[in-house]
Amino acid sequence: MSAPLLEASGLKRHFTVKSGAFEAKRFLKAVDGVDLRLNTGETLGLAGESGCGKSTVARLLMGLLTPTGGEISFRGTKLADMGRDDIFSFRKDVQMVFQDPFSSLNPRMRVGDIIGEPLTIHGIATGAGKRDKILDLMEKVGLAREHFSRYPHEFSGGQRQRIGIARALAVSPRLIIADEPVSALDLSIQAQIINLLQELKNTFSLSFLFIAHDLSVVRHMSDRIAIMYLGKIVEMGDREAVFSNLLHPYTEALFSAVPQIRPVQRKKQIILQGDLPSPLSPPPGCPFHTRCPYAKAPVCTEIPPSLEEKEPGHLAACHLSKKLYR
Amino acid sequence: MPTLLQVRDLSTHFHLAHGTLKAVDGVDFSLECGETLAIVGESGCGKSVTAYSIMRLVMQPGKIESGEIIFSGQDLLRLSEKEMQELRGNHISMIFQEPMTSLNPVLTVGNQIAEGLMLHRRLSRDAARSEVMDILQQVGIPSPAARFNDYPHQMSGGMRQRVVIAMALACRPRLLIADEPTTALDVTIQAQILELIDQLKSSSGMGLILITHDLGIVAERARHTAIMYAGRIVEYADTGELFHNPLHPYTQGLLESLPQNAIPGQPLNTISGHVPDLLADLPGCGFCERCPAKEWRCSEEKPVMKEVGSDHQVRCWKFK
Repeated sequence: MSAPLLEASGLKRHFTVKSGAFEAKRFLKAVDGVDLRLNTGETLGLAGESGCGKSTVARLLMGLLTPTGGEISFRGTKLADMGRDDIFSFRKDVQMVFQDPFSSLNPRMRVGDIIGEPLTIHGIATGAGKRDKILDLMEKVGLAREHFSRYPHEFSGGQRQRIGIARALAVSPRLIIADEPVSALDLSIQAQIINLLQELKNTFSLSFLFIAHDLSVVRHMSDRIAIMYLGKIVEMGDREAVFSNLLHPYTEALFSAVPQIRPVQRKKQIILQGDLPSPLSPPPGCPFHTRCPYAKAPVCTEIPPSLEEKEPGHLAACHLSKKLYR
Repeated sequence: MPTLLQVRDLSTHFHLAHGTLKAVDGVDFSLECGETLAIVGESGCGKSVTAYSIMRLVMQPGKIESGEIIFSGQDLLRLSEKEMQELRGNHISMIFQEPMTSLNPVLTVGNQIAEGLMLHRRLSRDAARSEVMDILQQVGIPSPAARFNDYPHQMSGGMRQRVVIAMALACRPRLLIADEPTTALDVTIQAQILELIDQLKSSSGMGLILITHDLGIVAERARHTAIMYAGRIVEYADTGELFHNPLHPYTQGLLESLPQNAIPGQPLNTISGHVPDLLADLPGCGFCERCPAKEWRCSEEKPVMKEVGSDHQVRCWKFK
């Protein structure tokens, strides 16, 4: 296996929350000890419900937020040790595609300028060369030449997402972090964008961190999958290993809650009780024990489980082995 | 089962400065008591406008141009606004997509639910209060007495949607229209809410129109399904039949484009192009620009709904 492109260990981000002048500071543990590794040419799918910390992980890995603990290294160099120039080239190598194609494009810039801006910033192309490069990018993502001087509001959601993808591709990145890139799109458009991302991944041998809450999309796109719950990864492994043999009760419930089209795939739904606990006061022990149908006192309620390899290449953070809870 | 709602040739148009947008263009369907009908389609296909038309909540510049909406024997389009107010929230209720914007932020949730009860069932404040407690309990809100005085912002998304459901069901409506009731929620919460709606439906025998774009929800919850495209219903069938034997090219394309139906990593089937501009006059089939099976007449003549089997209708020239 090749050396990891991006690696995070013990990654933490705690936000300070203070609601009143005399109130004690409290910590919102958005990301609380995440280890992950992304190899060259690989797609890692990060899934979880809203508030589980997956977008914070993305922003930490992009260098947009400073971690409060742990470290990130990109191609062997720690982010914290990078100087100005290193950071500048890191920013070129790691690009982001955002969820909302309506708010992530500047409404006062023309499409050509939006896609061309990173080329100028990184000094990649100017003048006629830049224009050719932009047109080339537009063609690759399926936009027409005449779209060059139009404004974002003239486009539909799917086409705007194509503009965002072209902008990310402009600087020939190694890694693209896509935060819910298709969840704002209609069904028939979603398939077009998924295909485009797959195609670009193969053409440019890109690596992807693919964040989504739709498990069928994550399954389709990813080589490996990580599931987050309350700031921690609860299960991680190769796509088929995870989908064929769920090890964590949360993943099991999450998968069973997805409405299925084919009746044969419908298993008994596990309907979780209650809501996600507040990340301001996460439960002690296993963060999932408050909603877990198999939780056993005192082990689950007191000791936080660590992410362990339960099967080759398949990790889970659960005290109970499968036999115990089935 | 008796018919609860019959919609015939409903058209709702929006008269804009630069033309007329035919959001709903000749929609027919019917719903029996205790039945769930799913209306499926992409954004802009007219599914929400259909719902708003039944509720008679279409705002200017929108106007219901023609058609009949027969609800338990009377045409809703012929009622006065005052008569409609008697029905709305009482016999016909609606759950809106966004639980944050459909609740009043400056009223406590208890008082918001009680409002309908005091208005429609003329309950006293105290009687309404105890009724609200019961309903909150039914929709699975823990410690309702404490939650009664909460404001919407103090609740999570799932809890807020339960409040919206409680409000819609407070007067025990005979027809419930749920417009994307779980789109804003996470899957585990979505499962809770859909299960709850189903339970309440089977205990009260009300009819449910479920508007969604999630075909998984449709497959699991609805008896009949109507697929809408560009303001028209293009296919209507028993849900099992529709998924087993989709006939309209749009329905087929939609089902084939789902990641659930594909081999991971392989390219998905796609429907090329995008939804037509509804401001333009569409003389033929709305889907013909994107249709792989297009014939000469598709762009010239509007296809009509054809009965192709028991409980299966399709609007396509392939079926004559």
